[in-house]
Amino acid sequence: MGEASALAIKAARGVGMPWGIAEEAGFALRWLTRSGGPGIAALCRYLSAYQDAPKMSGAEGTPEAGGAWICPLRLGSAISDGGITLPLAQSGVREPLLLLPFLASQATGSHPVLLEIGAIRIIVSDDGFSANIVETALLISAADCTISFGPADSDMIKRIGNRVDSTASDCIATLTRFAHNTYAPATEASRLAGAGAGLNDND
Amino acid sequence: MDRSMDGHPLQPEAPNAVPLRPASTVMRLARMGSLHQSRLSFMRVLLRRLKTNGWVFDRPLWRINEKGVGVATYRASGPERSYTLVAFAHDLPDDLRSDRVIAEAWDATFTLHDGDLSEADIDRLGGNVPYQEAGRISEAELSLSRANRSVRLFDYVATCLAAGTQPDVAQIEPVGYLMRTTAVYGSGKFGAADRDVWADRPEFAGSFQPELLSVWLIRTFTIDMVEHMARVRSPETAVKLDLAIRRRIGVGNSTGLGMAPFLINHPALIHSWIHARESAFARVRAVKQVSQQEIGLFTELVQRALVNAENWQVEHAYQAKKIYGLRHDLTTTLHHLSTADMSSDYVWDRLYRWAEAMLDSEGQEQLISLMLEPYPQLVDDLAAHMAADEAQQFCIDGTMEIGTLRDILQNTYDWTADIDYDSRPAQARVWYVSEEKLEPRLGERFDEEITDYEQPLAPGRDAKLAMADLTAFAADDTVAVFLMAHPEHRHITRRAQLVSHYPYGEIRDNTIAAEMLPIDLLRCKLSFFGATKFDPRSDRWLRITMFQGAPFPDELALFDPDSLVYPPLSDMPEMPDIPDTSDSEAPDSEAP
Repeated sequence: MGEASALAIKAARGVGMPWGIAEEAGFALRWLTRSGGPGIAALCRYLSAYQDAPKMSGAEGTPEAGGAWICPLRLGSAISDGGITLPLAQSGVREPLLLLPFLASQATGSHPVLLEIGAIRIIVSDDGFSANIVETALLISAADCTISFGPADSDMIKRIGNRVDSTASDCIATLTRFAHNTYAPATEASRLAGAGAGLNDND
Repeated sequence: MDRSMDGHPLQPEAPNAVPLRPASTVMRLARMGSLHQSRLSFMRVLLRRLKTNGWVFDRPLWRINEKGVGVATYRASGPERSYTLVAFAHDLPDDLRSDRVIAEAWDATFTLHDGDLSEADIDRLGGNVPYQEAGRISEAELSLSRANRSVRLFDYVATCLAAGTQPDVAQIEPVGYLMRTTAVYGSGKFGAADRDVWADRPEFAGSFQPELLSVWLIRTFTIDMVEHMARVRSPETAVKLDLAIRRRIGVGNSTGLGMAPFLINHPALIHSWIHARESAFARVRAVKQVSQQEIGLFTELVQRALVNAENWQVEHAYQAKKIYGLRHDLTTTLHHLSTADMSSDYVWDRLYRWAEAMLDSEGQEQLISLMLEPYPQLVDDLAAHMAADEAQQFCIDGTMEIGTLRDILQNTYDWTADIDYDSRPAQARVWYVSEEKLEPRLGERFDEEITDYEQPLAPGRDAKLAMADLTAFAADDTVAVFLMAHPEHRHITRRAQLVSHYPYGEIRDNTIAAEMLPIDLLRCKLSFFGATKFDPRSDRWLRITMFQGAPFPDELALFDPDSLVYPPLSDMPEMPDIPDTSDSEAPDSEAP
């Protein structure tokens, strides 16, 4: 999981996010994976969309812009920082599953956070989440979200995860490709000087 | 700090008389590059624990052929669990031998397996471990590493043993190893178990314990290999290594730039290491009455540290000058010890004050490590605190007021006040990662097209940029509001909040300056591992020796591992006169 989290940071940076937001991507993946959510698929979908999006004003998704593109990592960070308070109704949130780790920071034992996307209800506690639908249905490219405090429904099933599912190989390949954007091309000058070839290393 | 330990009468009338040295003193690159191993170093913590808890060791498998190719396993069995080092020995042509990360073949490759091994495990690992980064290990493995032979020593020792003779210690001592590891990967790398899997196991309390257990077992493998090759060459005459000579052989390691980003990227962990060492030193300085026995042990260790310094030979001018200074400092110290009044109260505190005035940072830091030696009861418990759960430190406090954040930045990064980050020398360097096996590198900002790939490893510069943008905010605005407007400052804001609680977590120097020497960062980290004989091979990679002098698994029960760290006094040259530092024979100070 640590390896996947490190990959997530590099991938988010690789599509152009600031380092501090990229670190939130790593945190989000770790939290979702531990909680049994399809975090790697959600992140892969979001970063792919981010990479392909025209770099128009607001494409980075400042939450208060209220435009068509709300970045779940930036909105989530603003919520966990306390810059945006709950309850909240926000349209156009991209890949809203990625919000859950940040909502968890606002949840307490007696006050879980409720995320509603139409008929989908997801309850987020400080240690995981429960939903009234199967997990793959949580992969939604963009949605209008209502976030409030609310009790869990009795029919919700809490998910528990551990390691990143190794069958997520397509997602890992995509994130690896994005991460590659952070690596400098190999050049002879770099090879010689960059790591300090210097004295013989074979004696 | 617990000031009531072990009956040492600490200073009841002034319990806070010896504060920890401030981060502004300790966390400078030149001082970090002068640190020496100590009782709290992780190799020493490991061996103490293995001995105390009665671990036993065996070699369940030795399947190495006459060409030196095959597989061997080494098992460490403790009170609750066992671990097995799997060693694959290869036949590597000389022209493929390179210590660089970009190498693709090695003399030997290793993994540490969690528990006992089956033949199926050996088959699985045999299909992956020899390929290192290109292979994949599993959650049942804790480390992945490889090693190359020392061309200087391996053949020499094999030839001696094959002829029935013992190698000359004078040949061994300056090198100190038969093989050197060129990478030791740990938790969560290439499929290995995450730290969470084993973090609660008492045998791994502290830092880097699985990796160092691997290295210590690798050391035995290197001896077994050289004795095996000697037997293959001349079964009639071959002998085993003399045990005292064997003990002077450690494991080498080549370390490149990767360790430098590690130090910057793990501030809570680095703080825990430095804080433990500084706390230990403060405890010792606070000892009021020092016994003759403690003075005697310390004096002997200064002499042995001088032997170590005499045996420490390097080509690199920067380090050569430091070693020359260290020998001078230790000799000066011995003269001081023979003339100063060592019977008065607080002698360690007075000795350090003397060292501050009389010695360079190399000598000062060496003496600090030596002053801890007589006080296991006072010092060793601190090792348990040399770890950090960094996931706990991740969340930003968005409710913090801007005025508070500004204070934190100004206090932590006050050393940036005189740095003009717009000047070329102040931002000459770029830390980046190459696509070539993801090797961490350091480039020249104004000569190479690498700025787009810059890693966030210049906290001083980033703090100054954030402070400039903070001027547009009111003191009672919140950090959350600032970060919504400036997501580009999120990284340094998180860091500043963190290091406000962990002052030793931040380096107080410009890490992208033209004159910055990465080897200073490398040495800091390696001293905490317990490495000796730092041997820079350029300004950005170096070799070290690990476990030189330490007992082997088959003799751990017989020796106190802490008593063997410094070379024995039988190697002691006659005590030299204090060299004249104005002498022009001092090596050139210019670093290449």
